[in-house]
Amino acid sequence: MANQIEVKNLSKSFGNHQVLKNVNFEVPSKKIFGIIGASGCGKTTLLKTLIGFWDSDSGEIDYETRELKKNLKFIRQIVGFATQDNCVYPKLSVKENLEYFGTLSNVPRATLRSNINKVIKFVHLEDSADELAENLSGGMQRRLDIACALIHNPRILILDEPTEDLDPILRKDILSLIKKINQDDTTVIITSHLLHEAEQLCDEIAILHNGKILRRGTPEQLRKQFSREDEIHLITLKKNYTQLMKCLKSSKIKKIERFGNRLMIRTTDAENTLQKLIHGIKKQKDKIVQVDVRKPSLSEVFVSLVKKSGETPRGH
Amino acid sequence: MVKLLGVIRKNFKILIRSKSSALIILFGPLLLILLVGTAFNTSTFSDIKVGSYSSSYNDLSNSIVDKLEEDEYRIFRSSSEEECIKGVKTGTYHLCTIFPPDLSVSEGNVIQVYVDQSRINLVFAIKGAILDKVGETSKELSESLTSIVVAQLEEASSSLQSKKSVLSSLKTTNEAFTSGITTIETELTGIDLSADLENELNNKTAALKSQTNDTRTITELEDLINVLTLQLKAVNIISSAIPNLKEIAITESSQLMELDRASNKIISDIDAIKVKDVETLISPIKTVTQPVTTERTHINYLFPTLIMMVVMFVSLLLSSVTVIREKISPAYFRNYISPNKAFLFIASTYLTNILIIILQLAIVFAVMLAIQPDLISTLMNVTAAILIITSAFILLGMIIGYLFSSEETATVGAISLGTILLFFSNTIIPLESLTASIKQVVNYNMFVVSDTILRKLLIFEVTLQDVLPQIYILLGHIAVFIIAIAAIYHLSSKRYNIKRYLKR
Repeated sequence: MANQIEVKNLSKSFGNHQVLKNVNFEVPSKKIFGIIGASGCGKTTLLKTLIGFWDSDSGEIDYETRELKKNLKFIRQIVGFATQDNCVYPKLSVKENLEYFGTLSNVPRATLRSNINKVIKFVHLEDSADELAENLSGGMQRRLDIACALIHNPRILILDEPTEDLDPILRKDILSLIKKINQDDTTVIITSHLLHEAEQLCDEIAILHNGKILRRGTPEQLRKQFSREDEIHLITLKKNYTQLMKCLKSSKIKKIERFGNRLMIRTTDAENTLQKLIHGIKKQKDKIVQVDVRKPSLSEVFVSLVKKSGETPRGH
Repeated sequence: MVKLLGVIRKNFKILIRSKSSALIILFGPLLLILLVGTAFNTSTFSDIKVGSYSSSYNDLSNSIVDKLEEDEYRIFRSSSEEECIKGVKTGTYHLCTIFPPDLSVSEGNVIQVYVDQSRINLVFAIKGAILDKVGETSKELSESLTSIVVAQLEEASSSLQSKKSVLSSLKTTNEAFTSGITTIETELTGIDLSADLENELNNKTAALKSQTNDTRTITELEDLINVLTLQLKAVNIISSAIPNLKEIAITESSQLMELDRASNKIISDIDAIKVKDVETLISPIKTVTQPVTTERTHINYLFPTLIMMVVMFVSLLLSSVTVIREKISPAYFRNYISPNKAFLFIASTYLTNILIIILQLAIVFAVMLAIQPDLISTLMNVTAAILIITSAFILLGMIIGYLFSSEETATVGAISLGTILLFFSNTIIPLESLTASIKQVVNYNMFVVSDTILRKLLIFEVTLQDVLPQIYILLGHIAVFIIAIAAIYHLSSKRYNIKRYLKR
């Protein structure tokens, strides 16, 4: 099965405010699919419509070729959902939360116990299994929330901004957990406004802006599609870049900037610029410590797309 | 079923683990019942302060005051009428009695009682009790006065009875007199007093005198004739007096007869008074307020209302708070998107609430059974009724929970609704004081209907059959509430989420 989910011409309004405008995309099976966009662009509404919480005004959502509206119970059985609000009961322990949501998701009693142990281990909450959810740290609560979404072994896991409000270490934890989930052949749909995260994690990305999908593809495809420029990141031994910056002036150099010990040069002719750089470094009797040539980040692609669309993101 | 039990177990765990909820919702009502039960376990009023004023107390007014004191009312003698009335206004006294100076049994003596009408229930109870006490003294006075009248009457009757023989003897004498007169009259009728006997005797004597010379004999004859003439004159006078005497005798006889009849009538009239008992005379018709059940303490009469108040407020608050807490809980969304029907969550909320309330009521009834074991006879009926009553209030509370979007507003909503239901019931003011149109609506007030059911079952020990009309009304409410919840559930869940979405 190539596409596990197909969204066709999906629109949703709240009163006069149209949140989703004719949204179309497909989610390939067993991949991590990212929906990125600024806060308020309609990511959460899109996910809630995907799981049938909101009825769409128009359009169609198919899961494994079954239409959502006609197969809601089946679809909720194969989908796990974790929001950014940690949908768990604070007064229940980790185990109790999992047991409760497992029961609600029709997990047979015979397998529920083993599922709980497996999921607890999977999200690394073994030591806190009997702790009340309210006593867990932010990262642990987020992992518990994901565990609750996984308790019924869903084929698709939908995560709404899973790293929101987490510190960098916890964020890294959650991202590696998502990768682990995906490695178990679970299709993951993730939303985020942290574009570099999505870039690291997702196999495919859709850029959502003001309720519209502006572009979609792999991160690499998006970067290539929207930028002919390359970025050269350079660190030298002496870290004296003043002379280098002077010798690089040409129409093909779009931007030169120093970030701490590092020099960033954006150019449309990476090969020629690199030659010039090596020549300059030799002339200064300096040495290259690190050099890296890369395409611009997804953030830049996003900004470029937004500018092109001519609409300011909602709430920005 | 497994799911339903799972959700109920979860609800219980959350309630119990939230210390404030457990304390307020689970133990609060039990504490309330315990306190109220202890406080009202008496059949009298205590510490009732009565202000009293009279510019001149006398034995009568003092005796009324003493009677009030005997009944454990605290009497405060005010120095002026104004002070006494002011005492009621300021709450120093529950009521004030103003006695006229030198209270006596005469017209125009009015004892004025001032009450604080704003304390409706207390006023009715105390005013009645005070007026009863004043009435007692008034009755005692009436008794004493009436007994004098009755005694005088009886004395007159016996006196007349005793003098009846004298009258009888008078009558006999009069009869004998009349009879004698009649005999004399009859006898005299035979004597012709009209003939000129004297002239004839004189003529004959004159003729005899001419024929004889015996003058001596003639003189003696003439003397005899003179005597006879005098006697005849006397008889004549007597004879003329007899009709008059006879008439007097007859008149007297008829007067005596009349007197006899009058005295007989007085005696028979006095005898005809069947009720001579003083107490019966002063209050020929007695009203005694008889309880339809055996006399009990306040708590026995209050118990149904108390149970109803607890059931109503706990059901409304508990169910609205349970719903709202679930609704605002982040986990609610996960419930909502689980592969389950809304019925599971609505039914589990209802069952959780009803189980908690039944648990509370079981404790309350266990305590009541220990105090009053005869309640056991009504226990089955009461349990069935309470299930229906509690269901109705829980469903109403759930509607409040689904309608409001914060715990605070839902709590205020539940309390306000409970207060409205309580206000338009017999608990605060009698429903009879409402206008007819409002009373018609109020008759369907769930609190009134439920209170009536429990009152009948607990106090009058009737069967469920006897309270079927009320039960049907409650079942009607329940049906309406279920439909309302089904309609509101989806709407409110999504509306709440829209609000959260818009807040972001």
